[in-house]
Amino acid sequence: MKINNHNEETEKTMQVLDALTKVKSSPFFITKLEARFDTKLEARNYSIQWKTSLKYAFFILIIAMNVFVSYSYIKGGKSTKDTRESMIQELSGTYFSNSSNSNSVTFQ
Amino acid sequence: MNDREAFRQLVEQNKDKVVNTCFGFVHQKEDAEDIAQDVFIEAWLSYHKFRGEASLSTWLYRIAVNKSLDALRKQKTKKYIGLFKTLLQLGGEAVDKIKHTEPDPLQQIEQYEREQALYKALDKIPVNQRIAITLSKFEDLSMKEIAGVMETSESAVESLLSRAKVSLRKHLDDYYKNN
Repeated sequence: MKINNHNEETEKTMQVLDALTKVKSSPFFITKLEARFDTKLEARNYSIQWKTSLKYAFFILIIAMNVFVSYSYIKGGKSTKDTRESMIQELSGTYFSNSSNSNSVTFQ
Repeated sequence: MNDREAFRQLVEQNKDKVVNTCFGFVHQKEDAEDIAQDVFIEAWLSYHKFRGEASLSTWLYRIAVNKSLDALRKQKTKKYIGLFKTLLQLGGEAVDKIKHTEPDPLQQIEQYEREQALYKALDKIPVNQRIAITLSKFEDLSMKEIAGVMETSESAVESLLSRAKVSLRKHLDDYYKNN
């Protein structure tokens, strides 16, 4: 008897499947949605602005670093040349003081 | 027609379909509306991805199914926290439905209880079967339309529906045996 009862109940519940309550959206659905949409768009625009400014800042940083590196290289290059010249002068002084006059060396 | 009007028209034409589909998964009207709003926002923002291979409503159903399944996954993690709240809401809804509807309250209670038992059984069947039966029974979509939403063949949908009914019957049977 009990088995029949639960079988019957299962069958009745399966029949509910063909007559399910349909849900409709509430009257203010669109108003709420539009408000949410605007908030989302605002947040999106804000984040795009933020991302764009971050991008610009990054590019400026890269350019500044390039300028700095180039400047350092040029400056470093000059000083190396100076150092090299003074070393050569020093060496030539040492060389000419130790060697005879016949062994002359010309630097260009 | 400007963008705002086009958006309004899209929502107006499809809101009930989308809300009802989401309700088929989450079984709570407020949650269903919340997810439906997400569906429309995503649809609007990713409209450029719509290639027109399927109809607009098929595309919307697809987003609705995915969003509902995402929401269910999130719900599972919050399950224990929300359990008490859900129980309270269910009670409220039952009373609400009986108060505002048809003449025979006893029949209404029975219908409501059966629907709740059915929702519980629906929650237990495999996801693909669940998608197929929800679209078929909540939205009355044809096999072809369901196949379009699920990106599968009609015969696969037919098989999913028959397996879903078997699974549902089994879960309901267990439910009534234990209660």
